[in-house]
Amino acid sequence: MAVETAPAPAPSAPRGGNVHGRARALTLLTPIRPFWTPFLWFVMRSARYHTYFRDHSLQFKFIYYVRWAVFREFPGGEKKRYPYLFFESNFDIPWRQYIDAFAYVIPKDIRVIWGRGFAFPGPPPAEPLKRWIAMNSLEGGHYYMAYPEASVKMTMAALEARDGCEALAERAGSMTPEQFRKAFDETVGDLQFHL
Amino acid sequence: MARSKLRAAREFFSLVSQTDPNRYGKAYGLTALFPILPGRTDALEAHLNGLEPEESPLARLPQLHMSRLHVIRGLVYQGPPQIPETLDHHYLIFTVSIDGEIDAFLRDFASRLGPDADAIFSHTVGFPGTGDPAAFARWAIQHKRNNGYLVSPWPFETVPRIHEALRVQAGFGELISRCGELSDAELQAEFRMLMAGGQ
Repeated sequence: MAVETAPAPAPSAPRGGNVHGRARALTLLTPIRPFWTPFLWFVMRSARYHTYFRDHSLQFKFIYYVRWAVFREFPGGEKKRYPYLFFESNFDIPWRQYIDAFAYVIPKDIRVIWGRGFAFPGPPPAEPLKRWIAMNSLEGGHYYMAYPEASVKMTMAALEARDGCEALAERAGSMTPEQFRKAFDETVGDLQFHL
Repeated sequence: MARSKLRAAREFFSLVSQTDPNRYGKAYGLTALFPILPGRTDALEAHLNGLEPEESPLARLPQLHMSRLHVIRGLVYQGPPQIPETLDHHYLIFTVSIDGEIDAFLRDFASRLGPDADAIFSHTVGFPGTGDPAAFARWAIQHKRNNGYLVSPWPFETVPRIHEALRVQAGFGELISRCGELSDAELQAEFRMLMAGGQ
């Protein structure tokens, strides 16, 4: 016989100081077990060479900027028992969807980054991870984004459209109006998914 | 597509040859923590919470993609076997993602924001004021923490170029909607005007 269980309480969303237009930020500062720090540092510093994390992170077309840092001490020489992992992501979807994507699509990456922290609920499933993130999310403050009306997909499409238009503009100077019309129509075809 | 393979290869090699962990392409990511003066945390936090994003003084900085300023008062206890610990200070966390050099940005920050920057950083320990932008930049950079990893889908695009892309895309879409009504010569003229920055 099936036993009904109460659904887990929904984690409260990060509040205030982290939304501007479509953009929102998630910031975490979590302790790392000391023995794990050298490995984590190596993974981060080498990430730009093997592109594993970059490609995994950027496959999601909702991330503007993301950063990780390891704080071995705080300013003024304030040393703690544990190193701390600082994480800040800037993205354009509700944060629960963001966590779902990471928890179900790249759970190994998440475990490598946070898995040797304390009380980390390795995904999947995503709900315990959401509760852990809600507990650790740094709230409040002021958040600013220079192009808040544009999602990541919108921005990437605009960049493609601009490049296509600039390429047309370079060629257009020597064209007759009739030739330009033909080139314009071809450009519209090339850019149809970016408009 | 418009982006050539040669350009993509050039950008890839540019990325992997960079050794500064705070730099990614043309972008720079500053992560900095400033100790807050005793008794001033509430005032600083109230000030930051009261700033509207749409009226942000940070909008005066043309090289700034995004920024967050917020306060951290303590460290979250995750549960056993972690041993709980506390911070000696409350800190202002200041992160920015910008185009170009951080020193120039911080000098711009002081000179363009002036009193608005004072209203934030005057709550922190050792703030030298913004009257001397170079002194402010030197002081702020002392609080920098190196990133381990920074990534963005458009590491070679500056803020003005992104604004330009959004403008051109919108204008091009509008031109497409009217191109059937325009003669070939009118279409060419309007496209030239669009790319020159006109409407």
